[in-house]
Amino acid sequence: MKKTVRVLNPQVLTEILCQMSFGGMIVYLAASGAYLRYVTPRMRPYLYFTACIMGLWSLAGTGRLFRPRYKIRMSHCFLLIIPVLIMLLPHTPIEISSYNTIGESSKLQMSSAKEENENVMPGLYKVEKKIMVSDDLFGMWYSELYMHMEEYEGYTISITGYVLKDPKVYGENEFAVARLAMTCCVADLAPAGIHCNYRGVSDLKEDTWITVEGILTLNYDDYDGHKYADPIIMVTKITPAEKVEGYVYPY
Amino acid sequence: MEIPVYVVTGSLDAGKTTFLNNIFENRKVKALVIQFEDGEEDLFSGYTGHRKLMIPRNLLDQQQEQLPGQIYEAVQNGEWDEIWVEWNGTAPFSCLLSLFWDPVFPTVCRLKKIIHIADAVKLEFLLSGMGIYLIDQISESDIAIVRNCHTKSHYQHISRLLEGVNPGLKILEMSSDSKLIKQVLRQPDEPVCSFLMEFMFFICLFLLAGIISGWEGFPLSRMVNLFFGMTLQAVPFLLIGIMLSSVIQILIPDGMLERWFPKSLVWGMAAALAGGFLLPVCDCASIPVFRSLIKKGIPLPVAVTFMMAAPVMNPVVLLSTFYAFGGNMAVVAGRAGIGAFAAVLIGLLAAAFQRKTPLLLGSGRSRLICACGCYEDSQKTKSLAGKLVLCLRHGQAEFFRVGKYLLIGILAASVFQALGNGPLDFAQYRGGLAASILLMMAAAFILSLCSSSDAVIARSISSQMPAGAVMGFLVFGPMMDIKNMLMLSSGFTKGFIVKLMLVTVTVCFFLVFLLYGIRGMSL
Repeated sequence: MKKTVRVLNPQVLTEILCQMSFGGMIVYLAASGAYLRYVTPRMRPYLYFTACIMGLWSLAGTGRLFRPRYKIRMSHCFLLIIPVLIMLLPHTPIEISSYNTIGESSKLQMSSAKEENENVMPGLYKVEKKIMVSDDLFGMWYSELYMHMEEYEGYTISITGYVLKDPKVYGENEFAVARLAMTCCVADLAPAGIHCNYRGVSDLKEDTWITVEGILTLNYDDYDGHKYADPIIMVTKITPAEKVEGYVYPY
Repeated sequence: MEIPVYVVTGSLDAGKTTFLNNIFENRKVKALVIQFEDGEEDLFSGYTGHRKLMIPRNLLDQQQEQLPGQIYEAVQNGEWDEIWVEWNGTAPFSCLLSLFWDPVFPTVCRLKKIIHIADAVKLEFLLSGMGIYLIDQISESDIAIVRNCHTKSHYQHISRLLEGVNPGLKILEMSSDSKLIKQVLRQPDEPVCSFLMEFMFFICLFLLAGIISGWEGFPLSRMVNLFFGMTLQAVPFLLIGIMLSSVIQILIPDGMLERWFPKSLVWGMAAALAGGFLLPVCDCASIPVFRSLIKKGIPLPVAVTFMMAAPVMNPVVLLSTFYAFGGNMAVVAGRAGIGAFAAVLIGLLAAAFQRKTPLLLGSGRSRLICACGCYEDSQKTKSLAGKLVLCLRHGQAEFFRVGKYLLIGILAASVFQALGNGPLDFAQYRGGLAASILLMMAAAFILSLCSSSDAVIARSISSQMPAGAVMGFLVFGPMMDIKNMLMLSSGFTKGFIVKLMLVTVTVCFFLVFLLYGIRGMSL
C-alpha cells in the first residue's frame, strides 16, 4: 500500500514565490535601466548576479516542494516582500532643490572616466578649441576637466546644468552649473558642478536649468598643501534649457 | 472528527515516558499511545482507556510500508480522544512525519503539536555528538521542556542552545503541575494563517503609506529612493559574502582551516590583515565571513581583526579613496595604516574582554549546528554536486537570517537621512578636534554608507572639518554602523556586540585623536 504522498509545503511555496518576485523586480530594474535612479551603472552585473541567486534558490526549492515538514516558518519571507511593496510605493527621483544649500560641490574630485587620454573625448573640437558637452557626457567631462584642466585652457565650452548658488562658497559673481552626481547609490547624491564667473549672477534663479557658454580658465587652488588646477568658466552667454532627467555617474 | 495527535520527542532517557505519565496522571482521557521504542520506565497504565501500541525499532527499519496500516487499524479500533506518539532520537524524524503524511491519516487524525523533552545535563554533549537527528527533532518542535536544570544560568545556557537550533521555540521547565500541561495542550497558531494576517497588515501599512505620500512636505519619496539605493547596493554584496561563507562552512572540512592556519598570534594577525587586504569585500560581506571563520575555529582576535580590516583596507576601497581625494596619498596611506592598526588593536582587546562567555548565539560546542535545516541532508551528501546544492540552501537560510537585520538597518538609515537635509548636514558644526572626531564617527554610524563610497562623502566635507575628523569618519564608518551592528546581532550575543562596539569606538577615537591632535598631522 505504498503511496506517494503529495502534500504541498506552504513554506517552500511561499519562499519560491517571494524569491521569484524579488528576482523579477531586480531583473526588471536592471534590464529597463530604472536601477540608475538608485545605483550607478557599475552595479548592473551585481544585480543580475542577485537575480541569478534568487532563481537558483527557487530552482533548488522545487525539489523540496513536496517534502513533508511539520514546522512551517513563513515570516522570514517578508524580507523579500517588503522591498517589493516599497518599490510599488509612488516615488519620484530626488529633486535638485533638496541639495542646493550644500556647498563644496566643486571640491569633489573624481577620476577620469576614460583613462586613455590619447583617445579623443566625444564633443571635443581641437581645431576650433571648442567643447560641446552633451547631457549624457556631463559626468565624463566633469571628471576630465578636473583631472586634466591644463590641456583645455582657453577652450570654449558649452554645458547644460542647473544653477547652484551658495553664498558660503561662491563669490559675488560666481555660481556653478551643476548636476546631481551619484558615486555609489542614491544615498551619496551630491551636486557636481563647474565654477562659473558671470556678472549677472543675481538675475539667475536658483535651480533653473541653463546652458552655459564661456571660456575655460585655469584657477590654481592651493588646498592643504596639495595643488589643484580647477576650471572656471568665464561665461559669455546663458540660454535657458530643458530640465535634464537622470543623474551623473562620474566614476 | 479529527483526533489530535501529539508527538513527544527526545533522546533516550530524556524523560519522555515520565512526562507522559505526568500528562495522564492528571487528566482522564482516552488516549492511544504509540511508542517507537522501549523506554526504561514502562508507560503508566493504571487508568482504563489507555492503550499502548509498541512499534519495535526493527519494524520501523525494515517494514516501514506496513506501519501506516498498522497504526490506522489501532486508531480505528477505539474511541480515542487523543493520540500520543513517543519518538526516540535514533531515527530520522522525517520517517515519522512521512508516516503521518500518508493519505489515510488526514481524515481521522491531525498532527497537533510536537514536544521535545531535553535533559539539560546531557543536551550539549548529545548535540555535539549524535547531532543530526536530535537537531532535526528540536527544529521541528513547538515546545521544548527542559529537565534537570538546577541553576538559573544553566537554564539560560540551555535555552540559548535550543533557540540557536529553533529560534521560535517555546521553552518550558519540567514540572509536574497542571500549569505545564495546560501550556502544552494550548491551541497552536496556524503558521499559514498568521502569515496571511501579517501579510494583510503590511498591505494596510502600504496603503497608508500611499495616502501619506500625498501629504505636503513628507519626504516619503525621498525615503523610498534612499531605501532602494541602499538595498540594491547592499543586497548583492551581502549575497557575495554569504555565498563565500557558505563555501567556507560546507566545502572546507572541519579542522582543516585550523590546521593550516598560523599558530602564533603575530602570524595569525598578519594573515588576517593580508586576507582583509586581498578580499574585495565591503562591510556587508565581511560579517557573514567573520561568523563562518569563528565557526571554523579561527581564533577570535584574528577573526575580529579580519572583519574590521577587510572593509577599510581592501583594494576597491583604497582605490576609491585615492580617486576621491584627487590622488592624495597621505589620506590613502592614513586610512590603510590607521585602519590596519586599529583592526589589530580591536582584535586583541575584544578577545581580552571576551574570555569565557559565549559569543556565538546557540552554537555551544558543536560547529555543525545551524538553524538552517541543512542538517537533514548534510550527512548524506558526499558528492560535490550535493555539497554545492547544500551551499545554496545554507546560503539561503543565512540570507534570510542576516537579511532581516540588514533590512531594518537600511530602513532606519533611510528614515534618518530623509529627515535630515542631505548627507552633509552635520558638516556645519564648528568645534574642537575631539568633538569633531566624535561627531564624524557618529555620522558614519548613522549614515551606514557602503565603505566603497564613503570616501567621496568624506572628501566633500573635508574643507569644513578638521582632517582628523575626516579620518575618524573614514576609519570608523566601515568597521561599525547601524546595519553592521544589526547584522552582527543575528549571530552573536548582545554582550559580545556591546563590547565590540565600545572597543571599536574607543580604539578608533584615540588612535585618530593621538595622531592628528598631538602630532598635528595634516591631511
